[in-house]
Order: sequence, then structure tokens, then C-alpha cells
Amino acid sequence: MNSMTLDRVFNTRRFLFLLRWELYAGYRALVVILGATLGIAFIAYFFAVPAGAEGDIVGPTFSWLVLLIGGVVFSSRAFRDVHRPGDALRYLTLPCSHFEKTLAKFAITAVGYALPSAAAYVVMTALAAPLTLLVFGRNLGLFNPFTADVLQAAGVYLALQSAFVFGSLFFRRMALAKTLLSAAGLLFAFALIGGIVFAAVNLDLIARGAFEWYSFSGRSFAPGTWHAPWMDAPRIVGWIVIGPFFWVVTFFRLKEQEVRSA
Amino acid sequence: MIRMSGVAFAYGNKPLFKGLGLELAPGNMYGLLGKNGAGKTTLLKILTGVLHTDAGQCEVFGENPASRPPTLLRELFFIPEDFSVPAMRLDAFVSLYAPFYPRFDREAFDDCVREFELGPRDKLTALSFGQKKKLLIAFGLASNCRLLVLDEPTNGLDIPSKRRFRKLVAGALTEDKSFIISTHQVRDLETLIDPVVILDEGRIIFNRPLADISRRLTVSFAKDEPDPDRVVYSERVLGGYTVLEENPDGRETNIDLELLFNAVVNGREKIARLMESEASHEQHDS
Repeated sequence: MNSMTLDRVFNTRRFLFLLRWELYAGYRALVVILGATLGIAFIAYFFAVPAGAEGDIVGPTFSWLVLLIGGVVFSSRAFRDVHRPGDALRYLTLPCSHFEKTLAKFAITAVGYALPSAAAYVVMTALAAPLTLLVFGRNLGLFNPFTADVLQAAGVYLALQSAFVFGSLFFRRMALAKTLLSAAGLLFAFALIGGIVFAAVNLDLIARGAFEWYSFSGRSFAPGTWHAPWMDAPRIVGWIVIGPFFWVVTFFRLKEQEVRSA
Repeated sequence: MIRMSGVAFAYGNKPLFKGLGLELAPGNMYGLLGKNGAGKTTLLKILTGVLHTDAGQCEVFGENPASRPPTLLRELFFIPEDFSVPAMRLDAFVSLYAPFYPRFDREAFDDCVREFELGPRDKLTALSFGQKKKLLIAFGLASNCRLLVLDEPTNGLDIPSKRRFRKLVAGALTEDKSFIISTHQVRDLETLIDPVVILDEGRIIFNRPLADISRRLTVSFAKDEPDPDRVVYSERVLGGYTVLEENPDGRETNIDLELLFNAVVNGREKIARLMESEASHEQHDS
């Protein structure tokens, strides 16, 4: 690829200008969403401390809340401008390539959200831990963002949020709800097909009681009665594929985006 | 510079353009006129790449605008009729947005902003519609893009601002640039626009420089209703008729663009005959 052709696709200087533009245009939403989810997490942390039993995993749950819930809400706003004619004209005629525009949106909503949210969560636990220690005599500890679990969570977030960024481009209104609905629909179809296949292959397993009626007995999970090692492979590949799949479809969808109204 | 041929475009199953052709050369300030719903804004959107044609060829500076390459986008600036501005201050907007346009002239922008009585600390969302439009006009002119597209630029401007707008736009046109101004407010812009392009029923039905038009046509006033066979077009006005008729001596005269527009839309065959005979005279002379 010669430099002229490359310039039509990616130019570092232009991309940095675009990132700066996106950050400036989007930081208010980031602050509000992050603040709101952190606020919920803070309240939940505070009340979970006296209620929680030894060994409960509520601490990581709250960090998930901030990263995932806040992240998908933020990601669902990524292409909001594209659906408002006045803003869409400015955005689509902004002198950057579709590749740069797609990359900038994912950079802002993925890394641009995950890093500040992790930092903010560390600060939140640093404030909440001494407070709960003072009030209740116990605490959930400080959040350590440098663990393998956090990296794995970041990977899962990267894959999941890509679907919501695409949803924000694909759906004109109520992108978050419609993306969730679509994902639920897909999961339902997958569960239906998977269930039929599973039942056909493992009829005797079901007869032996792989599934139990659940009640509010306090037990979270039924004991694992069926697991084949090969099942891990499609699960891992699935998580790896989701992100790039939505990055590519978002890029092509953006190329086709028009301003039909107004 | 801009070449369209055989362009077809439809909104759903409602066709708008069918076989539309257009050629625009640099160094001109084209006035795009047309009735409501004729497709002026759609045409501008196609030229700026935010709408894609269903068929036909469209080229702006040798590129297909629908593919929106940055090399083309940095050469065009579109000021739509309906627009929004981001929630930031004017100076922040310029420092964030200007770097995308390599020939952006900050000094020219500051001059325009001063002329339009805007301040660098103004909050964009707090500005009136007319002030926002002035900001975009100032930015568009200072961007030094080769193609500036303005959709109803004088809508929302107060009377002094319309005068300033005309002054600034007239001063910004150079040999390598083209401005396309779509408007219904022809009185605001008749001293600016040349050539005149008229869009009707999905086609460009007229595309002529003013000099051509005024050599061939002249406007006069008559107290009595003129014989329709002897004039190109006439309109009843207070106390008589404004008449568009063939210019007998070929000397350039002032043309009333509103009258010309109505004449072209209501009697395009007559106008076409006159203009074609003008063209054949010119060919014969040369």
C-alpha cells in the first residue's frame, strides 16, 4: 500500500485529532454514566458489608456493574450523532476515513471507558473501605485492578461492548434496549436449539436429574453433571470472535450510513 | 470539477431524480434554484457524500463522494439548512475542528467572526439560529475548501448580516474554488450567484451564466397585458406587468432572477429555444 492510498485509510495525525474531538464531545456523557454507576456501586458496597456472609463475592460483582453496565450504556450512545440529521452531516463529512471513525469510536468506548472506570473504582473502594470499617467494623477490601480476573473481565467487556457500539449505529432510537432485546432473542434461539440438541444426545442424563427445580434455598448453582472438555473451545473462540466481528460490521455499516431525513 | 450523469435517486418507492446530469466548473458561485421538494437539498447531500445515488455517475474532484475519502472531505464544506452545533465554546470548536482542514485560515476566521459580531468565548448552544449559521459560514469560508456548499444560507440572518454575508462570500471566491448556494431567497443573493442552475421534476432544466442570459433576455415593465406569443414570460405586478422578453440588441441587462425562475419553470421550451439559438449564434460567430 503506497502512502497516498494509506493516507485515505489511516493517518496518525488525523486520527489523533479525531480522538481529541471525540473525547471533548463525549466526556460529559462518560462522567455522568461513570458517576451514576459508581454511585450505585458505592451504595451497594456500603449496604452489602453488614449483610454479606463470609466468602461472598460481592466486591467483584460491583466492579462488574461499573465496567459492564456503565460501559454498555456508554457504548450504546457511541453513534447517537449519526441519527440526528444536523449532527450526522457534520460527522459524516468530517475529513476522516471510515476506518479512523470506527477505530476512534471503539477506542473511546472500550479503552476510553474501561481505564477511567477501573481507576475510579479503585478510588471508590479506597473511600468505601475505611468508611465501612468505621461504621460496621468490617470491609470488602480495596479493588486491585492488576489481577488476571480483571484482565479477563476487560476482555469480556471488549467483546460485549462492541455489540452495543454496533447497536448504536444500527438502531435509530432506543439503541440500548433494542440491542439487549436482539441479544436476548439470539440467546433464546441458541438456547432452544442447544436444548433440543442436548436433550437428543443426553436424554439419560436428564432422566438422571441434571436439572433440578430451584427454590430460594440459598444454593446458587446445581452441581455440574455434564461437561465435555471440547465445550471450552467454542466458548473461548466465541468470545474472541465477537469483538472483531462487530468491529468489521460497524465499519461497513458506517460506510453505508446516509442522512435521509431533513 | 463536478460531474454527474444519469443519476437516479428515490426516497423509498418515490423517485426524485431520473437521469440527472450536471457539470460545474471551478471559479463560479452557482445558484441552485428549484421549487419546494424539487430535490435541491438532496442534490447537495449527494454531492457531499451523505446520500448515495441509486444509479449513475457522480464525481467531485475526480472522486466518488459516496465513498467519503478524507482526501475529498477536506476539500468540501457543507452548511446545511438545518444543523446543530456541539456543546462547546466557539474557540474550542475552532481549535478542535480546524485541524481537519489543512488550509484553514485562522486569521480569516477571526475576521469573519468579528464581522458577524461573535465572540471567542461564546457558548455555541446558547447562540441564536442566525448566530450559529454565521459561525458555520465563517468556518466554511476560512476552511479554504475548494467546494463550499450552502443550503439556504441567508435564512435566519438579519438584514445587516445578509449584507456582510454577501461581502464575505464575494471576497472569498477564487479561481480554484466553487460555491454552490441553494436558495429560495433569490433577492438576497442575486448580486452574488452566477451561473444559475434550475432543478425541476428531477432534472437540471437550466444551467447558464448570467452573462448569457442577460445578452439574450431582458426585463421590462408594461402597463397592459402583453401578447403571450411575443414575450417569453410575464407576471402581473402592481400597476401592470413585468415582462421577460428577447433582448433585441444583445447588450447585457439586469435580470430579475425570480422572474427568470418562473419563466424557466413555466415555459422551459421557449427559454431553451432562445438559449439554443444563442449558442448556435456563438458557434456561428466563432
